[in-house]
Amino acid sequence: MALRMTSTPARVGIAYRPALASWIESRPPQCLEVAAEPFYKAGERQLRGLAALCPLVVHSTRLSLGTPGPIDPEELHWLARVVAAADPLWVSDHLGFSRTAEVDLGWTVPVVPGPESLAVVVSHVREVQEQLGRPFLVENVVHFLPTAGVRSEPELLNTLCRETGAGILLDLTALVVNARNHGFDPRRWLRDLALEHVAQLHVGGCALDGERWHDSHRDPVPDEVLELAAEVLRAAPVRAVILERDGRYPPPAALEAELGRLEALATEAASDAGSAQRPGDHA
Amino acid sequence: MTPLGCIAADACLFVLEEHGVFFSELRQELQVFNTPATFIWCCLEEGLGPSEAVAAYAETFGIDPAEAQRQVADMLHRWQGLGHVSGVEMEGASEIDLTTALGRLLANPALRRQHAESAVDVARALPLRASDMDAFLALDPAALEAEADLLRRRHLGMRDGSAAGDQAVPAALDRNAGLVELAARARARRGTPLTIAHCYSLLGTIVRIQLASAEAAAIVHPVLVHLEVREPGAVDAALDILEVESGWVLLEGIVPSGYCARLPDLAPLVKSAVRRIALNRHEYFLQIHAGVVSSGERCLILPAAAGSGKTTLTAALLRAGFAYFSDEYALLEQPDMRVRPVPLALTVKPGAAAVLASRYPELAQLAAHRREDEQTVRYLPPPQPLPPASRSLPVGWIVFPRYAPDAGTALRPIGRAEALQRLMRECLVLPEALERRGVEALVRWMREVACFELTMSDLDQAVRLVAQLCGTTGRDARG
Repeated sequence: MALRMTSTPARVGIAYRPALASWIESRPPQCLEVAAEPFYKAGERQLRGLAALCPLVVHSTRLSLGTPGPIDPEELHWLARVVAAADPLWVSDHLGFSRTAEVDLGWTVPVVPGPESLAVVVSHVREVQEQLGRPFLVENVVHFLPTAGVRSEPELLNTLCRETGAGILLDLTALVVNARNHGFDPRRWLRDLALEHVAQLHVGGCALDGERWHDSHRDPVPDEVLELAAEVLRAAPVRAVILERDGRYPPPAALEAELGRLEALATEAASDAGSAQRPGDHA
Repeated sequence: MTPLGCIAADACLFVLEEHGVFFSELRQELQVFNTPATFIWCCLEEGLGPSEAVAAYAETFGIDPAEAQRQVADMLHRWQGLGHVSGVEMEGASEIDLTTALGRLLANPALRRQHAESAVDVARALPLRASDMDAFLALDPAALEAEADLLRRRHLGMRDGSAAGDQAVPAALDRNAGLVELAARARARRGTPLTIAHCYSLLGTIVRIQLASAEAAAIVHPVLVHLEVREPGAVDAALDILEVESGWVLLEGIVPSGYCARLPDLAPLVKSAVRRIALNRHEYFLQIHAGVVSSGERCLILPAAAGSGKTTLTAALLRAGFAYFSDEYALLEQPDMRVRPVPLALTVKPGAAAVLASRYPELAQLAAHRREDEQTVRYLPPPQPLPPASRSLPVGWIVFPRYAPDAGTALRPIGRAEALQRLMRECLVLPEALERRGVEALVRWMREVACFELTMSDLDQAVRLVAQLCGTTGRDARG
């Protein structure tokens, strides 16, 4: 997908959840992200209704891009139906695998650092792009395993984008959670990332549980994530920022205030478009 | 003689026609094995040695011994990797890649423990292909445990929006108030008492609904009126419908349990709450997404995903003389999987309304409601009399309907193993953890039930086929 810096602010929206339906309808955001799986077998009418409110982006969790062998044709079939009904700006899924030929893990595990992992993901991304006919983004995930082996995670994403033309859905909360758990500098990680590929941001809350941070999505977005969002928005051609909230919902005013803060960051970044800086350049 | 391996204490297999129904109690995993896998498991159960098993496998499936050796060894190593079998030492298994190995490690705590003790031994035993060896040996056991814990947390829904206590976000005029606060305020300033009250009975549970607005009552009551009980002995649950600044809040006891912004959204919300309360208070084994009708002393269940024509077929069968149990839920009860009626009004979507218009002219006059999924629906009260809540019936037939406008209308028998897989795909709720005894009962039941797939393009023809199957031709179907 062709991306370039623009003075148009990134759209700010929220990940659609049923509990948010009435509020979203009363105050449509600038864009909405819909999870694909709940709409696999029903809900085309609802998707069309949501698409009438504002532009949609579709987020998948089931393609399992890192699994060797062919992509599950059934998953791709259902995703294609969702895409046809939602008419999204783009589609995204995670850099990882959620199942093998033997077991469904139920959630995405990072791509393992084998010699063929990049080739597997590249081949699958190309297939998805061809089948869906939409721009496709790949997202970084929260992980505890090493993710890249001979390549760092940013290098893996950069190479993947270069070879497939895919973009990056940069989950800043996942990045901060990984940085806190593994003790690395998220700005250094971002300096290694080819930011020209970043088309969308995910931001959400995180929480410390025992000794580990988790991307709970049930708390306000932490300042550290907002600061990184501001920096990335200035340096990358981000077209959408999506707030992920998965429970412990606050009153509408609090959600709107969070979206308002993100909108302000996006507007500010757009007005600074001529003087793009990479995250950490000021440090 | 060294046996093939030792079956884990929590794992078992039940033969169903040519297939096996595998169950792991520890992992709560239920899957259908194909015939070769079932054969190999039976060899394990019978304590055969490797050479005996391979010879029998080669002869049964008509393949050469080397290929038989590979297939048997692959299957045994897979089961061992996933923790279903131990002590497998059979040679000749294919090497697996790193992703497959990682899948086994994340799914199997015992394998992770072995990996922590000696990653090299685990790699050899899998067996892992040589090119992935360095990456495998570099996996940190603590990181593996943390990743497995992360998966467990995700699996438990610790990051989705369905956790208890999470309320919908209202489209409130007062944007600083959450649902609880709105409900509390509505209660505090309530000038109009909740004078309108009706009691409804579903699955033996009596739910009392109270509200103040005649306008709201006129929307809600017709949807539940066929379940109304005039003089209930006792009330099991109370639902109050409160009008707030920006919509309607549903209170279950004192807890806000639902919200909608507009009146046309209210009836679906209330119907859903009544259903949830009744189902939560009722003991059952499996809840299947299915239409259910009865003919004589047996019932027919129609499991299918939304959009398959389930409600349309159910409604049409009622006009052909079948009795109504449900258009959406089959509650299977232990020990023999009898089904109990959940006779909520049929949910008719716009496409189905046109198809059913000749059978139910009254549909056009019914109010249109808007569900949470944006579908506009009409609620069709089922024909009276309803079966009593205490009347459960055995299942005589399972028919999987599928609306296929270009495929013609045909009813074809399907294998019971395929039917079980399809049935479990439509399983909405498993209220308790599965146990061996329950799975055994489920398989025993499946052995006795006739299973079919119905492709439908012509509703009249579909009804005729089903009526013939159930041995009825019209109005005599009700028991």
